[in-house]
Amino acid sequence: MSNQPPEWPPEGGEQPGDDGLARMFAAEEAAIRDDGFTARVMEQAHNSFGVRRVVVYGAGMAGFGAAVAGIFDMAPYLPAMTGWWGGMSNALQAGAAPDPSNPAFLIVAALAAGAAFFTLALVAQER
Amino acid sequence: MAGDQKAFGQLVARHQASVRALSRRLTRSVSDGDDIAQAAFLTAWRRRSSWRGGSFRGWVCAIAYREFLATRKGRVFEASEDDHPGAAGETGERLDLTRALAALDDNERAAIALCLGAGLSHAEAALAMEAPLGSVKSWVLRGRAKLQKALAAYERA
Repeated sequence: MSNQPPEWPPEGGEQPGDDGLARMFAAEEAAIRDDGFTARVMEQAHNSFGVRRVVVYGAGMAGFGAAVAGIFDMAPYLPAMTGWWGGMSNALQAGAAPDPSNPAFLIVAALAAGAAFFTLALVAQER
Repeated sequence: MAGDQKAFGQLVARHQASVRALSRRLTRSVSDGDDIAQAAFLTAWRRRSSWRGGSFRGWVCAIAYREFLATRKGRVFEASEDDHPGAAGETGERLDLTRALAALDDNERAAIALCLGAGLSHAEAALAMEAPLGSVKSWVLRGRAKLQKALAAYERA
């Protein structure tokens, strides 16, 4: 009695081994021509980076500009954000009670905003 | 930045055939496969800083497999006679390889396409498929046996 599996030896006795299958896969791959595929990928890669760069760095510069404008008391020339700022300011005052008129607070806020946008930019580039 | 793009373009040109072949085998469609391959290269470009060295082809093939899975969730790939990897002037041998692959179940086909087709190691394929190493090995073994049986005629010829 044999302890070979029921289907062993396989029918026909001659079957493609690894080399035969590898040859078939390689032949199929070799038949694929570039036909502009690389150019399309690179065009999209270039475009996606451009849009992302404009959005992320644009937002970062806008935030940084607003923070700097606040430091130099240029807030009256910015678009009205009284409601938004007031709500956030109240929330902050309820916690650590910082004084928004204190230049040190504004500098810290500007630095925090810069760090946040820089982190956002790095994360966005990784995605 | 420009240097990055140029180097990446060279990598795409060098490996596009492998990644497209893998994606076509997974989707059983030329156009869907090429869409997956393109998405995989774009993902690789965006996440290039996360590449820790090793085989670039293996890395992109793993990404292509993930892209395939993500795309498959929202739709069903339909293989058609006019749009399969073995169409358009292919030899009978390649046509039969395509049909033999189509007869495998999804896991066997993916494991075969990754390991025998794209040249990933069992461990790399297991990582890409998020499956136990032993399962991948058995899918490859079973898939290979089925392919060998289906394609025996070409070995004899």
